[in-house]
Amino acid sequence: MAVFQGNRGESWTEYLLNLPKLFVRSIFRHNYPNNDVDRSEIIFKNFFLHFHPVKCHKNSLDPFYTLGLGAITTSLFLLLTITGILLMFFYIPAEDRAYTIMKDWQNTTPFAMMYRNMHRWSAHMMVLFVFLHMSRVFYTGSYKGERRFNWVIGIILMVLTLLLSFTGYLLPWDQLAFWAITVGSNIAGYAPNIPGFEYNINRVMLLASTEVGQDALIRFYVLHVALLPLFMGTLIGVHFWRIRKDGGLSRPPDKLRPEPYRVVQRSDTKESYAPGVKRTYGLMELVRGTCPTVDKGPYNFVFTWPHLLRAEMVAFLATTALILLLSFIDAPLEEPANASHPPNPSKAPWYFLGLQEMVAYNAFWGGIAIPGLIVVGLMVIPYLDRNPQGEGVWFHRSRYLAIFFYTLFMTFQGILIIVGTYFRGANWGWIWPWTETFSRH
Amino acid sequence: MRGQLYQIVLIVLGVVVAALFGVFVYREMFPEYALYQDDYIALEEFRSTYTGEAPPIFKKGIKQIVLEDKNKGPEEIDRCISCHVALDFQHFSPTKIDYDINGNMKRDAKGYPLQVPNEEYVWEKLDRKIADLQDVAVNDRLESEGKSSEVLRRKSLAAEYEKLKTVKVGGYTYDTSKVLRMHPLMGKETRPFQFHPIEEYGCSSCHGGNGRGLTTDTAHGPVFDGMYEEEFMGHSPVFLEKDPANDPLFSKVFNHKPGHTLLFQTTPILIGSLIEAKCIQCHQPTSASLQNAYRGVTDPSNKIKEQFEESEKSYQNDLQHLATLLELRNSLKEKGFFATYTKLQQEEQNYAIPQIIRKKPSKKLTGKLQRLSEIPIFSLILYKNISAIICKILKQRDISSIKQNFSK
Amino acid sequence: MLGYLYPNAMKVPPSTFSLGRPEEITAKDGKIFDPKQKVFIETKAGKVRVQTAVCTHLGCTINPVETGYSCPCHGSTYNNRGQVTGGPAPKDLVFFDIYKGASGDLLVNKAKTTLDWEKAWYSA
Repeated sequence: MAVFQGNRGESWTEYLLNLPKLFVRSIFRHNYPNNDVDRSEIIFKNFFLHFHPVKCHKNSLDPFYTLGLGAITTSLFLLLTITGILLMFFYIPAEDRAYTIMKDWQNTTPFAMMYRNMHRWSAHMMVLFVFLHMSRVFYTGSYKGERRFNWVIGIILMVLTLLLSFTGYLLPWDQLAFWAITVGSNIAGYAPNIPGFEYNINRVMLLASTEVGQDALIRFYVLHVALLPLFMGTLIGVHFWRIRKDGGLSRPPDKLRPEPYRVVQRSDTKESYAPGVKRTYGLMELVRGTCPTVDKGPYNFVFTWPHLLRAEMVAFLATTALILLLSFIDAPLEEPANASHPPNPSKAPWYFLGLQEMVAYNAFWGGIAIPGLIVVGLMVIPYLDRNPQGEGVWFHRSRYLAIFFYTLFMTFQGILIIVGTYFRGANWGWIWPWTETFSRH
Repeated sequence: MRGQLYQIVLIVLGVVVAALFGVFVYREMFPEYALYQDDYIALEEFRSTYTGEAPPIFKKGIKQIVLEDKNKGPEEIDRCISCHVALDFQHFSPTKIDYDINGNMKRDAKGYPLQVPNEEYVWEKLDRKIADLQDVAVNDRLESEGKSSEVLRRKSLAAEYEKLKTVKVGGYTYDTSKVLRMHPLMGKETRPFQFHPIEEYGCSSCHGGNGRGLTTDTAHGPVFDGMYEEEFMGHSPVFLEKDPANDPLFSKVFNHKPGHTLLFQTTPILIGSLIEAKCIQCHQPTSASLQNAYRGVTDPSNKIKEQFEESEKSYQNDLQHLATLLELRNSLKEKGFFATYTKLQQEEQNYAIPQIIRKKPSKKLTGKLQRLSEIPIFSLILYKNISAIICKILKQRDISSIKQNFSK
Repeated sequence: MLGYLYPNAMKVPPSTFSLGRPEEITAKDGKIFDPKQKVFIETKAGKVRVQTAVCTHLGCTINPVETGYSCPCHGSTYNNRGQVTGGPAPKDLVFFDIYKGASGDLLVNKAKTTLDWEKAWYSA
């Protein structure tokens, strides 16, 4: 009778030979994924990957469905964080030093202009892509059902993106930066003041003073490098988490086995299925077999490793390539900030130019009320939308009216920004950009 | 299918990103100042071919002068010497100081050293060597002797030397003999930076410009015409006639703001005779110091004069008021209270007298008198007191002594 | 990334510095301390010698005393030639190479050192 005698103790030679493998195994608890079991294991055993689901739906990987916009936005955020931290090694947030450091970056510090340009163009692109991502989510109706609050988080993320861009804009301390922030903070000053305060509380809290100066610079710096990125990172985590809990990205109902069915009858020629237990993400199933979907029919989920991760890598590299290409264009640097010499006109950064155009008509309504209403209005969309149809589909017929209004509104905002950029000259007067040289200020 | 497509795209993008990074790395490996430094090293090697000495030790890299700020503020940094390597080398100067037979320096009428052409001038020697190498007669003779490889060597060497004379950067061609040149001597200097050592003054304290810049356009600003991208600044008045003889050459430099692709300097670089504008920040011409001394003497005395005039005016004012008060006292004494009061009221309403005289300080007294008159008993008692008080005030003013004080 | 972080242009005085014109330096004899470069410049009878003023123990600036030099931080002492006579200093004070630059100034190269106190003299 064969009786298990216990493991034979290994000899010293065997131990030494096994040492490298032991060392590697002590770091990585999983194998390199070459089979389905390993592919599942790596996702839930690896710290950096465990945010992903083990399997994701094929539809989510379709580049023409999501256009990769969320992934591109996340890649831009990562690029911004990395380049931002690198730039922090040299930047000093003091009035007299910030600009001299910019000058040093121009030719002397190696790769500084590359990182600075990458940072600047990533920031502009991020504002653009956040907006495009929001539009994609709207057009595919991906804010319905359980995804309602995720849309609200997304809007908060958009506001945070704009704030991060705004706080970062001041840091070069040149004329462009200084006066753009002066304009922006003056708009903030039109928000209603708490009675009893001599100066407008909103503006003073922003600038730590009544004018843009050293206090504003350090405040904006701390907001830009510490507080706002922390908020944003946390909310991005929540944003992704909610997608996980909602079952992945939105998609139209599966024609092919919409919910996991279980086999109820198997014959030589045919299998039939009945609705089965809904998939729970909290449980793990151990199966014996070569493929985890034992006793299940075909369905549209594929392993995250390699498919989703590869798609994310493509998005990241595409973003990096785009940003590197743009980095050949130097980020602007103008004269050092001079508080007594405002340029005419002084323009806010481009994403606030629509606001500045509206402010030119009425400061409170254009600067505070209408933008506030826009943000609240956007947040409220999922709660006003009672139509359950159209989730996961581009331009569903039942949503034509909503799509029309959204597009109209966004186009109008875009026109305001274009007018503010190209058609406004000195004293905010109307100019035709082709007759006079377009002057940024 | 889709997976494979993704794979191909991934690999292609990876290559693209690596290539783009490579471009940036390439840019860093070949900065602009290295061109000038390489040029300098080549010139020194050329020089050693005819002097026989080894070329002087030169370490490549960024060279800078750091001027510390005593308040620990941002330092002034001048990186001009990274490109302008030869600022204090005599053999890079086209002229040299003239000495007479006894070894004394020849000076002109003002005491400045006279300059004569320098035969050690490297650029001139280079030109001569190039001409020598390209000498048609010699080359033809060598060809005919069959030494065509020798001719090729000469020609290629000449081409190499010719390349040293210019540097191409970003679409522009710069003349290296202007970059690698000794700093011209100013005034009574016998060698460059004799009185203003470069380690203590830097370059931008006199020349302006952007000391921290390391490329030609960021450090100097626009060097050639047309490097300006002019921004439209609104219509400006233009002289209808051009006067090339008298119009300043650099008027274009300062009338148009360089476009935003060029870093705008905090201080523009001063060219030509404008450099002397900065000398005045430390040196002052004797006429200015004479003026300062004169003002130092006349200012205090002017101040005292002004003070005297002020007090004189107020004294005259006081005299006038005194006269009015005396008049009032007299009228009170002679005519009595009510008569004075009615007379003053009449005067107030008398339109024949100009308003200014009417509104004299006596009006105040009128007001007071009016109130007093409403208290009949009081008026009699206070009338005496008032007049007594007035007399006292008038007596206390020792008028003559005040007059004496002011005449000093 | 590493290339970015390695400072290209550090704000320290360059390792090669100028003493000045030979005539001016050898005009009078004596020993001067240069605080920016932390060296002692010694002139005698038309010759110049430059010695480091940085203690070889932990880098403090040494003071000249009658018997040579003494470091105020941990008490290392050196004799007039720069040899260690006491204290925790492990090595002697080095001399720097002096050469004539292309402009005619005397230049000191801190990268080239020697311990030979006779050879370190440079005759202008």
